[in-house]
Amino acid sequence: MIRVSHLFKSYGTGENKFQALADVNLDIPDGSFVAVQGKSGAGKSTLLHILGCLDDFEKGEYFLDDVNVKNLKDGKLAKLRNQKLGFVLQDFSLINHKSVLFNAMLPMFFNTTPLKEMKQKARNALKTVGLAEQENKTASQLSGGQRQRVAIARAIAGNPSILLADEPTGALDTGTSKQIMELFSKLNRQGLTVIVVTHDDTVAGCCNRKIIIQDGKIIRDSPNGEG
Amino acid sequence: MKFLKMIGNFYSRNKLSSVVLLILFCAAMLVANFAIGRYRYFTYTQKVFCNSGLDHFVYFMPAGFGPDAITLPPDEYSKKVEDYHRKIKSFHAVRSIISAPWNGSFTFQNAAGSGYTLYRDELLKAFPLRITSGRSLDADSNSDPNSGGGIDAVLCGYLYHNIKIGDTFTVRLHPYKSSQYTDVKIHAIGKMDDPAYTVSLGFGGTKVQADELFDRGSVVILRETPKLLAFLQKNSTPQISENFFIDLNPESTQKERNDCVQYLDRQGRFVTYDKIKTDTEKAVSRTLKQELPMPFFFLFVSTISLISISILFIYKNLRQNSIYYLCGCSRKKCFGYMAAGIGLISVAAGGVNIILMKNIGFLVWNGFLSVDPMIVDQKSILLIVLYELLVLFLSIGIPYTVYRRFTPIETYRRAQQ
Ligand SMILES: Nc1ncnc2c1ncn2[C@@H]1O[C@H](COP(=O)(O)OP(=O)(O)OP(=O)(O)O)[C@@H](O)[C@H]1O
Ligand SMILES: [Mg+2]
Repeated sequence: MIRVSHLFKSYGTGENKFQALADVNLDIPDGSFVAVQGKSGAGKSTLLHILGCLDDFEKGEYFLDDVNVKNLKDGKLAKLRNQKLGFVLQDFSLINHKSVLFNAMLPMFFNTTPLKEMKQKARNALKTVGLAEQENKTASQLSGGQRQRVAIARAIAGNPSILLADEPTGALDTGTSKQIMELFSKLNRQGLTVIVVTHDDTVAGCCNRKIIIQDGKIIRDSPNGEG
Repeated sequence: MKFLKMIGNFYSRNKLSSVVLLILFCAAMLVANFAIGRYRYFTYTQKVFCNSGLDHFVYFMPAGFGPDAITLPPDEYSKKVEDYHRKIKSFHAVRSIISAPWNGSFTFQNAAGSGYTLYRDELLKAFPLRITSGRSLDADSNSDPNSGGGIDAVLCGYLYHNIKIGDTFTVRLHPYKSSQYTDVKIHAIGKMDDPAYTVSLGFGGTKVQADELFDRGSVVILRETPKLLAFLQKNSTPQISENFFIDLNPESTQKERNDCVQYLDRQGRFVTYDKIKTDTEKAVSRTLKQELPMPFFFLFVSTISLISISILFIYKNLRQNSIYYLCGCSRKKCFGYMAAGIGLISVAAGGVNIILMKNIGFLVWNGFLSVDPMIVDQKSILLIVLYELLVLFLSIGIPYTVYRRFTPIETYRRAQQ
């Protein structure tokens, strides 16, 4: 559950100051499937980074499952990311020279999950994304679509409550994109909150809610199909 | 365990540079340590010599006792040396002489290669033993081979590292060319830890430096008494080096001194105390100027490379760290993995050096390593530790300032362009 109110984020200082987000208000209940859209430079990634506790912000409130994110330090934020959030980025962000299994286990290296359980959970996640057979290959040996599925497996292996995706299909062809979105839909039906930043309308079409950002402001927030 | 895996992951990406750094750093530290050890040996022997109180003495190196002297049996040879000493002592200008210590061998715990050195009181006074535990030999020390308690001795070197002060042990003496043997009991009253240097006076040359008057080895030092010497001469084969110090009485007449000096000149070579002192000073400053700079430069260079490579590691691992960050690793922890990886390299190099320094006595004694005379001891290890701390501070602190400048967010943005 995400609750954001009067959120401001700017880059730079003085003359170079750039307001990337201005007065963003947002409520995302558990189990949502949200698309975030907007022109390039509108502030989509910035918003996603803040929601993902990757970046800080200067003004406003952000509650993540009733945790006030605003004043948390590096270590606490990391823990939050580790426990509640999963990420899927356009460039897959995998450790290419390591095995698929290692990549899927990675988040659990930073918490107290026992090694045995880590493997178990990672294998389950790989099964969910349909890569159970590939666990010993290195990430670099896989195709783009497969890599993105490894990234999804990694994101869900630790049972997070929210999945954040920034242009997850940006580097994939239409067919593969469709598969990825089907995977997201499936995960969402299992209860995972999914937030996808995309400028692909087909991708956005799969979601239940569409948020449009322009110049750092939310100019439209509507259930899909009403737009 | 997981932490180790992540450090392992750091190395798996930086294999070659890590190994090269480790070797480079190890070698640099070792060379620097040896150079310091060398320098310490030179200054140590210089100090001992300058404090010896032999200011009026000359160091005399007889030219030998005829062409067949070397082929003489040891006991006859020794007799000749002793006769020679008597002859020198008979000069009016000669107040006394300090001859080299008697050396002989025995077997200890079935190991050959060890032996005894007999220090006379004059020798003990001029070149006091560098005792590390227990006490030195003095007039009260027992030198009676037939006493039940054993002959009082100061133990030097690695061979005796297991023997404690107060312990007694037996060594076996063998006379020259005979299968008979005699066991004698030795009582340890003091120890000179490795590296232990004893006066040998074995060196002869035109230029004599203090560092050449000492020898390193595993020996038992006993106080020489006529009775003990007679006993050892009967049951083993003590030998004496022909070089010795001569005390020229400054109160004797010029003619008396000239007589003696002319004789010495004919019979061999001699150098004065002052000449040895200045040649030693030259040798010390030469070591300082020639032997120390290169190792330190090497160490400096390898430290700089460690720091630069650490900084490169930061750049090289930016993307990987941004992925860790994404997966819920804090910024500090991300750096921690790298810092541990970098730190371990220098700690391992320091560790190898400390182990080597600690076991150098063992290595040299068993012939695994041959080194020039040098002093490495606890101080060398302390130096390594201090240097290690400095290196850790630099090789982690400086890369940290670089690390702080890059946020993972920038890395994601760059990846997306
Ligand atoms: N570190 C930074 N310093 C200055 N400006 C920045 C910085 N990061 C982002 N911006 C600016 O903030 C604005 C929003 O960036 P953001 O990446 O959120 O856009 P976006 O909507 O994700 O665009 P795209 O669709 O191209 O990914 C952009 O105009 C960008 O130039
Ligand atoms: Mg973006």
